[in-house]
Order: sequence, then C-alpha cells, then structure tokens
Amino acid sequence: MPQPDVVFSSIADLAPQLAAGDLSPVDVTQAVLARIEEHDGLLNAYITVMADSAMHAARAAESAILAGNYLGPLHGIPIAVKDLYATRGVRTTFGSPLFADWVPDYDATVVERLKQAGAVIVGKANLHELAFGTTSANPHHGVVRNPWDPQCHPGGSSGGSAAAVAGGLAYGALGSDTGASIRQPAACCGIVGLKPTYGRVSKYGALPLSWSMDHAGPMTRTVADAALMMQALAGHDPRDPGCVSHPTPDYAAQLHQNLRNARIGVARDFFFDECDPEVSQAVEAALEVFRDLGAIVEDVELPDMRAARAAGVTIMFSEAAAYHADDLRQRAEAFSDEVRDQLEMGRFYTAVQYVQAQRMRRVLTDQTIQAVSPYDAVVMPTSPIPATPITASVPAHVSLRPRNTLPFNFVSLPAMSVPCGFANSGMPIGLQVVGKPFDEAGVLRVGYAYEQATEWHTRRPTA
Amino acid sequence: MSQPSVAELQAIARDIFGRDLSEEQAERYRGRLPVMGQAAHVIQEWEQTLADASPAAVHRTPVE
Repeated sequence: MPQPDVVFSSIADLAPQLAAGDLSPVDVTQAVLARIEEHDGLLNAYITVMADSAMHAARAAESAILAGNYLGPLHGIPIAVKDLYATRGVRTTFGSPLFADWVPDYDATVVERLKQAGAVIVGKANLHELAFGTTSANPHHGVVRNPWDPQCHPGGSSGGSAAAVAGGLAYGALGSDTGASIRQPAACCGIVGLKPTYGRVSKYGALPLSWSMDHAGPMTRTVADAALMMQALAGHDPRDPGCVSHPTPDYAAQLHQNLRNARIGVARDFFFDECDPEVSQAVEAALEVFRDLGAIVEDVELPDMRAARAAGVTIMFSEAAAYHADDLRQRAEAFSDEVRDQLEMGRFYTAVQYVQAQRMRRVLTDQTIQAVSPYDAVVMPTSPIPATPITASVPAHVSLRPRNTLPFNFVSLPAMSVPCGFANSGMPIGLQVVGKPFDEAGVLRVGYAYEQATEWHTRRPTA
Repeated sequence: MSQPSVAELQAIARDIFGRDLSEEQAERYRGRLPVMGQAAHVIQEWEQTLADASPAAVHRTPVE
C-alpha cells in the first residue's frame, strides 16, 4: 500500500492483514515514522518521538506474529501516548518544565496494557500544559496545530493525541479527560474520542489534574478502533483507588447490532445554548440519520446541567489548586501565566463550596442516571463551537469550549465524540453520545451505527 | 456577547470570593472569573435543597 493509504487505514482493517502476515508491523511503523518526520514539524503533535524503541517493538511484533504468537488486534499497531502518562525509560514531561527531565522507571497502567496487547508506542503526544486547558497551545513545547487547518488549534488538552490520529501520525492515541480533554479535541480534529465511566479505566501513572474528574480513554479515527482500544484498556487496577472491579464486555462484538427501535434522547436545554448555528445544524442532521436507522428520537429533559457545570468547575479548580499547591508556592515561575492564573483562581473557592459541590454531585448524578436510563443513548453537540484560529483568543471561548462535556465528568457517565460534519471554515464538528454507567458498549454501538451511515470518518485532512 | 468591565470583575472577586484584585489581576482572570462567580451563585442557590444529601464519595477504606 502507498504510505498515505497505509497510515490512514483503520486498526480494524489493518489487524487482519498483520495477523495473516500480509503486512509487517515493521513496514507499518516505518510508514508512520516517515509521516511523523514529514508532517510533525508543522503539526507539533509529539513532544518525544520514540523511533528507535518503536522499531524495536515493531520487529519484536513481527517475529512474534510469524512465530504464531499473535496477541490480538493491537499487535504491531503504532499508538501515541499523551505525555501525561508515565512511560518506563522515556521522558515524561506532562507538558511542563516542572518535569522537563523526568524519566519514570515504570509504565502507567494504560501504557502497560497497550504494550501487553502488542501495541507499538511511537511517541509521547503534546498537550496543554499540565492538561489544564482546551487549546494545546503549549508555551514550553510549542503550539499544536490542527491537521484540518494548521492556523487553528486542535482542541485540548489531548491536542497532540488528536492531531496525531487525525493527521495519520498514529492509528490511535491515549487521551485523558477532566472536563473535555478527550472529546473536545476529538471533535475539533474530526476523530472519535471516548471518555469511559469513572473507574472503568485505571489512571495509575497519569498526572492528576482533578482526582475525582479525571478519566483515561482512547482516541481513534473510527468507532470500531475505539472499541478495540477500550478492550485493552478497561479493567480493574488496585493501584488506582478510583478504579472499580466491573465485568468488561466484548466491545467489538456488540457494535453491529442495529438501532431499530432504539431510543435516542436529545438533550436540548443547556447544550444547544450559544451553539454556533453550523454546529446545531450538523447535530440536527445527525438526528435525521438516527431516525433513518429506525431509532426513536425524542427530546429528553436532563436535570440541572447548569448546576452540574457550576459544581464541576468548582471541584476541578479546587482539586487542581490542591494538587499543584506546593509547586505553585515553590516554583511559580515554572508555570505559564495562563495555568498559574487558573491555579491561583482555584484557591478562590472555599472548602464549604467544594463540599457543597460534592453534595450536589451525589444528587445530580442520581438524577442524571435516572433521566438517561430509558435511552440507549442521549446526544448533543460535543462542543458548541468548532476549532478557531490559534491567534483569535476570545475570552468567552475559554469557558464555552468544555461546557457540553464537563457535566459528564461530574456525573461520571460514559461519553464519546463522533464526527458529524464540517463547518464552512472546513473545521470538523462532533456529536456527543452519552450512555448509562458502565455502558460504553451501548455508546459505541450507537456511535458505530451513526458512523457507518455517514461518510464523515472517511474524509482526510490536507496538512 | 458583552464582556464585563474590569470594575465588574473586581466586584465578582470581592463580593463572592472575598478577594481584592488589582486591575491587572482582574484583566488576567477575565476568561474564567465570570463563570466562577456564576458557579458560586449556583452552589449557594442549591444549598437549601441539599439537606439530605451526603457528598459524593471521595474516600474509600482500603480492603487489602
């Protein structure tokens, strides 16, 4: 296959060829590394490219497969890891000078699991500094650029992961999501991003931003690929006190069930407010696709999402300020102005406000689960606005970008962004699909049916 | 969308969070402060409905 074809294959398409020996992990990894060499000077999706260790892993995968020891669909597949996850023997910066030279002697659980599944780690993806922001304009490691228009940001904080996947610089990537950071960059870059239920995927070895809001999850070009990555990532890990022991289903096996008579709820209140009209139109068109697939589409009243957002912001900022309190006191100069300001503002909230927010969380989580439970999925726009030019800083966008995603970190439900169109600017638009607790399989099934009925995921960026 | 003035931002910080901000600080915090102020208001409005609500769990007794 020519390089552009092979690097834009899906994992699901590539895996059988690798398993059969028709394609070598070495050739695939070389093609991705060549693409990184060619395009990452512009995109800046990676902080660290692991060419040598990737080729070593690719050769090992090739030998294992030829010897009949095929490990499964991620075996020999080049994957990017957000530089928020510890990687044994590889510099892990968290996008900050605070950790400029830190080389961990252990792997984060999610990295360990990808390696156990045979994945080839090609590099550490750039991110918003300390994962605290939604543009990935990192002042220490450089601005990440959107493959659909390099003048635009890729979203964040997992912007490097999103740009790498969208640009053909990896087949999938690890992201993390505290308020938006998997789903919003996925929407901005026209890819799939899944934030699982809180506790489904271990966060051991990830830098915390906000312990009770942080989630780890996959970013891929297709829903089926997200299912394959989830299969490797999900499962109990006693090293993460928030991780729960819950049976892991076969995600890929459930993808193909049709949506006839499935119930799709549309959450209009709050989520469509202040939306770019092109975003609203794209989501309305997606609802027509669900109807055409035989689903019953009806408006659903979720509980007070303004309150969920308010309490979620309070928790996130308070926990972030607590985690970074010592470094902020001792090494304030190591933070950018933007992140330092946000951490200082996190200290504004009182202990009473934090506790009240956690009490609201109990109430609103129960109410949201009750509202979502009759539905196969509830949908709304992922982000109210598509990606904008890096230089056009609009203060109101800072809070608007994560507005539709943060409530689901607060109530811990699984939520995925799937490409659902393009703005006239050429920038992608995302549809958010929300499910019941631990029903990632249902979210993937609904997203997959929509994806297969549309062609958005087949488009390729030019950069 | 109209943006709050520096004086309005300073009032949010003072009245809601008990912080006196310089004009320069208020300007720096412009992107987040209005939403933080709204968040604090919402939490206050909710307080009267939380009588029976325990906080969401943030601690678990280790079992091993």
